[in-house]
Amino acid sequence: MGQSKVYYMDAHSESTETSLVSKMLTVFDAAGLDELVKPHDIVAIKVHCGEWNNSAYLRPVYARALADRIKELGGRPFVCDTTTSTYSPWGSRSSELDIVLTAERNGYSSATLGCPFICADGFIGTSDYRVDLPEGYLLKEAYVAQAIAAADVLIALTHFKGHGMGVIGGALKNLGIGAQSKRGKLNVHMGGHPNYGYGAAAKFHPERFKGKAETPDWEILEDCCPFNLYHINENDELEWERERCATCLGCFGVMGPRGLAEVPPVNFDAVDVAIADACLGVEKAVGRSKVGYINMAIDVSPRCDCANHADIPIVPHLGVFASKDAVAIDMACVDAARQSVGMPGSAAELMEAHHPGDAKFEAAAATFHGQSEVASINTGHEIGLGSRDYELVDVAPADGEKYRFPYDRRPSRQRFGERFEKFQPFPYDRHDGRGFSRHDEVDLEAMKKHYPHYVNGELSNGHAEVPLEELVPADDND
Amino acid sequence: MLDEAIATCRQIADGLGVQNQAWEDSVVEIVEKFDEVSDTFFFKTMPSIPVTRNCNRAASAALELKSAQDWDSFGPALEELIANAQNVIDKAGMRGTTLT
Repeated sequence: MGQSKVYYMDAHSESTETSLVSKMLTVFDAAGLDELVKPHDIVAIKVHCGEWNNSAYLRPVYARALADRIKELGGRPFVCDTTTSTYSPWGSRSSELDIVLTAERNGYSSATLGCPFICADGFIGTSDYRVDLPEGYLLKEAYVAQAIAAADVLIALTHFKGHGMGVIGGALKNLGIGAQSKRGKLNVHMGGHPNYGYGAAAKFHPERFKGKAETPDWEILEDCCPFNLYHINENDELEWERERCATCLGCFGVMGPRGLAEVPPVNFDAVDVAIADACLGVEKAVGRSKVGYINMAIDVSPRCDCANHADIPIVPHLGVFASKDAVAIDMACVDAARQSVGMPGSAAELMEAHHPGDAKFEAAAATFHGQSEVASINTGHEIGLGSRDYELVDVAPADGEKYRFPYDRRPSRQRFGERFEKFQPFPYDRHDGRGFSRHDEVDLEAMKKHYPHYVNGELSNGHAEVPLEELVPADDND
Repeated sequence: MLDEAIATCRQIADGLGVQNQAWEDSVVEIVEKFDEVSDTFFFKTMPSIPVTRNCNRAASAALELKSAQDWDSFGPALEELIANAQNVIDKAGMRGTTLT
């Protein structure tokens, strides 16, 4: 496979046309993704709507702006995500009922998006479309969320960030996990696999269970498994029907920290490979030439938006990317992160992987030593999903006029002149035409100084006193 | 990496009681706690690295001061080591940790 084109704009914003929303739309057009949409096409926009209390997921305005653009093109958009595996006993997106509520709390609703927000794999997550994958590196079939498989066009609008299991959470994972039904996710997570499944590969230490009497919260050991595979028997021993384990991951965070089970790193490695296979399954379900990718490499948190929190980004905003190639676009984002300096105070700095050239996701996002930030990318390259070789195309900003407030493009006198005459916001008739009651003159300079102040009861001497006139941009060459 | 911290702490504790018994007791307690948590899952994960590395650095600094018999500086260094060790022990519990 030859080089794929990845269209790119950096993350600097200083005007209407360089807003990240504008840039997203600009690279969408530059990459030719607009040409994928024909009148009356049903267009799925696949996002990650964010876990409960996550705060790094993409702001809904990006999906809204993209949906509006698709409507301009004559398409009929919907924004979607899928039910998750029950990867935590307290997850907030494991059913349609839950994910719709979480999505709404995070700002994803028809009111904000201007089109429906859909749970693409049904109420429980079994609404799907099976795809054969003879070319898969590990998977031989995939189960794609029905609403996505039924769409004419799919745009993967991805928040590019890290992930504890996938190492990177990019375009490949947005479809390789995020566009799979719940059943499809269990497939990708290696449920039932004889070598890589959690049931097969985990080390189980029932001897470390100290009995109900010494385990006040023992019930969670049974309750963490929705398949009801953990039991404390009449002899007060912990049992696990591991041969039936679906690898939903729900017990990871319960058993691991207590020393009752050891998560097998090989499971994570296998999942990272399977993600690319499953992404290919999505492309085959929708149509190989009907899928476009946008990666918003901003707020690059080390853990995925599926975590119920978001840590300090490990690198500054990297930019906005678009491509028709899921492999190339993720490779470009990984390269950009690698070339970037790490964010002070972030996990990248804590791991001492904050220098340009450091593999930041392997250090700051991976759960285990030895996980690779390019495993999914390499697999995608290997199976012909895409190419890790790419041409990075710098895209120039479009005309700012295009991105102005669209509902009334006239300037303000035309929009408000008559209304201000009728509902005058400035009280010209008061205080001799000055409008409001105020001092004529005050000591403005006094309010600009740095004064000593108390911090935790102790007097600080304020900030270093720098004359305001000296506050001019420094010249690093001086 | 935790093994390294345990070994360094053992070297610190060795004969420290001659100078100050309370100091030796503190370091011995750190070693005992580290032994208790050393086979937990946390130490197989990447997030264990920063806290354990900080602890190693604090232990190495304290050992250096002990070797130099710089007892004025050793007290604060030991406090730093204890704080770092406590952090390791707390994190080893992985309470509230979401792995995926």
